[in-house]
Amino acid sequence: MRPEDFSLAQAAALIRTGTLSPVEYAESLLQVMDRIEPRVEAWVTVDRETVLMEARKCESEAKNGRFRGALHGIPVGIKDIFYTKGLRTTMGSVLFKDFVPESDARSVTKLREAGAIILGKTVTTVFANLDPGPTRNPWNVGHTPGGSSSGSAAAVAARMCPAAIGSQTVGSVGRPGAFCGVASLVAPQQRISLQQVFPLAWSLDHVGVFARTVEDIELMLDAMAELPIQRVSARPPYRIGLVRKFFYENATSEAATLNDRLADALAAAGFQVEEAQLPAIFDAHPAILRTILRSETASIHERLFREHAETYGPKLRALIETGMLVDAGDYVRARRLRRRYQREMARLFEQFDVLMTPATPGAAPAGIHATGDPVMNGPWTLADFPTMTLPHALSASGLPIGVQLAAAPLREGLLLQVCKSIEQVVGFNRRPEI
Amino acid sequence: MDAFKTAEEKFGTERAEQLRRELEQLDADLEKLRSVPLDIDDAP
Repeated sequence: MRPEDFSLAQAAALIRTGTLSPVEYAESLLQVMDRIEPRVEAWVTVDRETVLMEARKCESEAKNGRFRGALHGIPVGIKDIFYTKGLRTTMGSVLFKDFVPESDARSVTKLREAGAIILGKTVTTVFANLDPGPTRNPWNVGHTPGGSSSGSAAAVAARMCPAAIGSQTVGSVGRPGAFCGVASLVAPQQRISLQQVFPLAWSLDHVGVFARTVEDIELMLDAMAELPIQRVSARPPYRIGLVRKFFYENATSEAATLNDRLADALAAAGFQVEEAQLPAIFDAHPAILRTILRSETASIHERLFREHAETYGPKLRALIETGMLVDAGDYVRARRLRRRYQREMARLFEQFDVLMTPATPGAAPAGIHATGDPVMNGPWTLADFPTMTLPHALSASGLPIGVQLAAAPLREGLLLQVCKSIEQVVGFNRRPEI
Repeated sequence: MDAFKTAEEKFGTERAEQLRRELEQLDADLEKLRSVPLDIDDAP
């Protein structure tokens, strides 16, 4: 097995036993990058000297039996809206093309404390909105990898790193995770700090993780968590609430059929699968989400937009300008409705352990002029549910299709447990041939 | 609210026309929000 094919957990274990050299591991990943990056363009900044210097430190420490944490010697990608000390952080914007932070984002600090090596900064769409970056989907470079965490998802899929972090405000982790055929997790806001992560909308932003297995996601989550994850003693059969209303209406027939097929497979494997009925307030979720998003984004960009409007792409510009028209009364109304939405949606978990939907409307669309539709992900982001996506099939065009699974607020322990079981049933072991 | 009219005043007619689709969506969203009754205990 080549080093780039190891899962994060495998690599971490081999480093611990002295079987895998952190320096050789980092060098292998950089070689993969040399080979594949020209076609995928997942990275903005990679400081090879620092990466190898850190790898040498990790190797020396490992030889002396000193391990910083569970991620000792593991190179990871960081979305380019997370501040990284001494490493350029551009937010995907020309306005920050030379910005070098003087400190790390809190989540990056925690990754370093766990022993991770920052391999580099991955491409984000401009200010993490919808104006795309240059990244291409490793499964088919003529297709989008999704966004806004485009580079992180693509880098993990292409084996340039075993894990990477991103962020989600509507669908910017689940969508690229599914389009790129990797596992992803969006953590609740309370779980992972957003300190020194350039915001798109403060009350909607969440930190997310990409990796190739649920076990790897768990290791990354544990490293970054501000509150320890409560492990659960829930036993199978796990109760899955299949949500068809709205999600199937917005899915291609292929995605809906594949989702139903997965539901049948899970039922045959012993999961309790039933259709979940959404509360009436669900119908208001797009209006609530968009109103909060517009208003907060407009506020965040108030000064920059006033001084540099000509540098803004069309989609972000439109979002900011419509946000400038929302008055305080409507914004507060949206926030009040969001709280009610969260309460009423959370009641679904009285009946189910997780809710299951397609992760995206379909496979990754052709072209890199757009990053796809986050329609499937927004409902759970608004609810602040921890959410995972897992690849489970290939479309007729050979692109990955993902399932989205959400759990009750702060129940990542249960979500991870259920997803590990689903992962075993699915047995998805395909990879892009790039 | 007539988002188009407000946008026209703020950004000019040309820009408001370019934003017509987004403004129509904004109007529809705000109308939706206002159609859902809220209780005094529904704090933000």
